[in-house]
Amino acid sequence: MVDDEADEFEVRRILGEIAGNSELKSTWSRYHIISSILKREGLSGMEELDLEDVSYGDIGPSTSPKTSVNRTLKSKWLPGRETLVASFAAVIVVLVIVITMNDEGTKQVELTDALVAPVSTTTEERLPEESDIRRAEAYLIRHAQHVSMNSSAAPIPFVKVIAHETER
Amino acid sequence: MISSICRSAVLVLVISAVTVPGAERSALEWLDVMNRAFRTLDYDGVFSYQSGAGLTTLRLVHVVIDGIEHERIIHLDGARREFVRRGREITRILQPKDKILELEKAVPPTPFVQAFSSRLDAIGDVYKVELNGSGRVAGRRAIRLRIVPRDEDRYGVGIWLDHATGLLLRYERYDLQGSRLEGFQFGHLTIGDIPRTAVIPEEHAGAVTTKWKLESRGEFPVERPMHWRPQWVPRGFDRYRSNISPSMRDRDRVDATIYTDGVATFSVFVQAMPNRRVVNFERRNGATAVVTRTLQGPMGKNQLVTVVGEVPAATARKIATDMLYLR
Repeated sequence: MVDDEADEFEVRRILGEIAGNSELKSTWSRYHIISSILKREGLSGMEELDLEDVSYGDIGPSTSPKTSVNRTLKSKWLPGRETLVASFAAVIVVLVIVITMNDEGTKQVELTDALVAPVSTTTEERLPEESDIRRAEAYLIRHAQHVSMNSSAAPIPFVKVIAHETER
Repeated sequence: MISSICRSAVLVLVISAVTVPGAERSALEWLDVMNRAFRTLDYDGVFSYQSGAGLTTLRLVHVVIDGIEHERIIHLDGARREFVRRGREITRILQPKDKILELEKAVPPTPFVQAFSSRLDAIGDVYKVELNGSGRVAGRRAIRLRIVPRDEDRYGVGIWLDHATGLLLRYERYDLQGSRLEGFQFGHLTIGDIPRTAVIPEEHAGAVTTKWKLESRGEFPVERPMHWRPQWVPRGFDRYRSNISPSMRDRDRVDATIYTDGVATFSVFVQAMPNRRVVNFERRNGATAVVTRTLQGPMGKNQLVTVVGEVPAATARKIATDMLYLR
């Protein structure tokens, strides 16, 4: 639901459950505090996070009139896909995947679904920090060095390392 | 009279076709000659390298001594940098404040393991390799080859080989629209009679020297299990693991894999993120694309996937986004 992936029916059902269960209610609040901190939104407005007000308020045209609190919740905690950490659970159902490995020769490795775990992709776009750019450049150099060491006497990959911008 | 001239002209053309040395070898045979020439000839030359907006000049010396290759590449512009190869050993010589030294701290160290050697056997499946006339580079007669990709997941390459020896004189990599992304070209080249002293690096006070050895795969009888793997790579790219030592697991925690189709290469690095930060961005430097994506593994920990190589950004993006975690 946090990912805005649940449909209207599911959202109604979950909100109903949360409203009637204090443990779920505190978990809901905890998740959103963590989410807020991760997204560097701070804790301002947390006092507005009252699940009693959430109830069905902003989840569909047939619900009760929207309140300002509801709107706040919608904008802060149920944002659209374009602004959210839109993780999508890629539940990979792989019955049999045959992957060709070429570690010095070709081996056929069969991967069953028991071997493959779900992976989520975080699609949030953010401006990279200086450390992210440095890391990317470092991997670029690592790649070029490794290719050059494996390509006997082919100078071009080495050149990519040597010619890497020299200014500091 | 006219028919006689025509017959003569046809005869001249037929003789010319037979006697053009370039026509005696197929394009793939020329590539094989090029690979051998790089390893077996002694040469010393100065070449320029252009990547994106950057242009630099370097000197390359290669001498075979007692069957062992000795190679030296010297940066002639900007910071003094030098690589010296002696068989499987590499020595890198940099100045103390070189940017590369600083950059290296940004990622965990990994050894360089022998992963692959040049392979041309399957190149025809993913590229069309053809002769493309002749030319002249660094004052030498050259045979031109064109390596055209058969799909949009790799770049095209144009090469000029020395007609007499097969040595690579000029090389260009093009994007899918035919624009040049990077290029290499000798301006001056001497082949043969290179003194052995030419591959001995000069001493510079304060220089930072780093040595590596390309480790043999046989040195790691038990390979460390790898958990991350692309679910998709372009066809024709074979996978080679580049860090396999079990002892590396604790100190670096990077799954590194290198792929090649015989012409292009790319690497996939997967590194645990120390915090839950999300890093998704892309860069391109000439023909080299770098794409990073943050994935969440089954334990809920964020993993940073970095795909870097000479493939189109769209291809690198697709590889980075579509990863599998193997238990």
